Amino acid sequence: MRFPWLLVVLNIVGHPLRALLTLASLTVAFFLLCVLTSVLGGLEAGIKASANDRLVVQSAVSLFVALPQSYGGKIKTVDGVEEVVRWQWFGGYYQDPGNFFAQFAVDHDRLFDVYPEIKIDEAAATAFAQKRTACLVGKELARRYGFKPGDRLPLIGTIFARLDGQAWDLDVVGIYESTGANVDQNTVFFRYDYLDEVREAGLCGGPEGVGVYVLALEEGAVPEGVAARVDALFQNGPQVVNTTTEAEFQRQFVSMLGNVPVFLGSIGGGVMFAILLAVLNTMLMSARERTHDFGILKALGFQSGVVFALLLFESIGLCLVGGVAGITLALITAPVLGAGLSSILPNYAIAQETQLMALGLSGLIGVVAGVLPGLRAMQLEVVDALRAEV
Amino acid sequence: MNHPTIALEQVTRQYSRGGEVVKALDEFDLEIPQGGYYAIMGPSGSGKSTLLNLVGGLDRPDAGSVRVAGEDLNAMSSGELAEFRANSIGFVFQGFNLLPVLTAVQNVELPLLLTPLNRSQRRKQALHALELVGLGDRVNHRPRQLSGGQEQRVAIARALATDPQLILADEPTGDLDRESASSVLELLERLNREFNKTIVMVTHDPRAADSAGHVVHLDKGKLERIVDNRAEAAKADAAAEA
Repeated sequence: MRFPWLLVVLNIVGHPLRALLTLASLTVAFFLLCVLTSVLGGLEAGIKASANDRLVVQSAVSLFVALPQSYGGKIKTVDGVEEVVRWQWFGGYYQDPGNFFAQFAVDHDRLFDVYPEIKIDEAAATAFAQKRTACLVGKELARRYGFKPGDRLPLIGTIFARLDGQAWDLDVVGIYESTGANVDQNTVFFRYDYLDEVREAGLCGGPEGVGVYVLALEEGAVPEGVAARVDALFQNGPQVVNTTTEAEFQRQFVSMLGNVPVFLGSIGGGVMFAILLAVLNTMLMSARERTHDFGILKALGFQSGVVFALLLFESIGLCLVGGVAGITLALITAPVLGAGLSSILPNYAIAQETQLMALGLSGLIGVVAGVLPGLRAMQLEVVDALRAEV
Repeated sequence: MNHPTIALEQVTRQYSRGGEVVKALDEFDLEIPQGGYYAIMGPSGSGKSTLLNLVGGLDRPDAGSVRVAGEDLNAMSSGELAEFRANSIGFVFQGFNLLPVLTAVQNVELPLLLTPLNRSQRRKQALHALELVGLGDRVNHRPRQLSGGQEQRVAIARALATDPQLILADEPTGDLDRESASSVLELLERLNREFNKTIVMVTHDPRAADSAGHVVHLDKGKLERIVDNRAEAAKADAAAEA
């Protein structure tokens, strides 16, 4: 016996408006699912890619409380610490407050020892080492604003506003790429000594001290042990510190946004449940309208299982087409959405796992939505089905 | 008389309507030989369609036995009944019962999916059946693009497609105009005469009943009488000559 596949296709396209509306709902639902999952993935990518053998030292009070400059040298002496680099969130903007991207003042001579995943060419490295106002621009940020080596990048300070109201003039000396998701390519790194110089000259506002210290560990050092020793070193002040792995530090950032994964997961789950009900309703309606047709098929000798399978495959087919359309839409819009979200979510991408998950879910919804009408149609008595209104 | 292809013995089928039990067929006996062309007549509610449904394996009796082509339908499971219908019976319904999404040839091909024929053989056989009913030029039309008479002829082509020995027709001319009805009746007669198909046709139309070899009259679920049209015609001719 051959399965009447043609009926599956023709029944879907037989009601073009209903099929299109259902497909549109499915497309939007799976597009949303892909986007939400990718946002979650983007948030977690930084955490996953963060090194567990790199530590971040911050104030135990708050991330926004600066640490003394003197701590750097002391931390360097702790057993297991290979290198220490200062990081300071600058928080300025370029031309307009809407042009938001991250800028950090860093120790230029140690940055690459602690972050080997940041890659620049030799000319950029030389220039970054020689020029006090030099800065490195992430590849994505450079693409977005068209920055290139040799450009002047004026940043208006907010935390470190210059007292004369002028911008901080940075010189772009290179474009960096990052081989890890923990360092995004939408950031500007400039030299800490430039910040220090302006600050010490009293030419800008802003807090004294250091935002955080990032530590590279010696090979074989146990991160937890080193963290405990650093914390112990400053337990009597003047600033008590909290030392965590880089991964934990990233996680804190995500949790600062609230319980985002649960929130986004709930929305995604709600969307899926709603679309399941919508498809189920469509399939029940379609099955009820075709009760007479099922009677004909059964009278002709088709087994009840074939009638069940017809509705099941119809439902799966509809959902898979909607799922693929949603995934395709998510892929098509990913560059635009990615660019729009790059400043807050640099790792936005529709991963293959997300596509497979959406495809699997679309098939699953098709199965669930097809079973109930399929069972009903299967249990129809031929005589009753033939009597049904056409 | 040929070996009976249909044999109903003491068949009872009852339904419950509004708490009242109605006997659609009441200890009903009937034999129809292979190659016979029988019309079933009777007032509404006399059990005509119930009889057809039982013979076609679409329904089961509450008591008695239904044997078709030597098979005891009572002993079959639902799946076996479906298989039996696919292999042995062609149905023609009053409302044509074509699938609206399929073209004429696809409708005729539908029961052939249940046979071992390959795609090209199925198409060839379906086209042949449509030629036979005079619709060779309407193969790609959908039911809504055909007249009632043409739709019924497509339904007859579908019933013929698997070459069953038994054709069951439920009011095949009920929804047709006089001209279309005549053409359908001629077609059924031809199938009986030239291809020796056993035909059982439920009808209210005396003209349709006249085209059959025998007319079975039912009333209140019981067999009232069987009229042999040919014998009656011979008698009438003899009387006229006398």
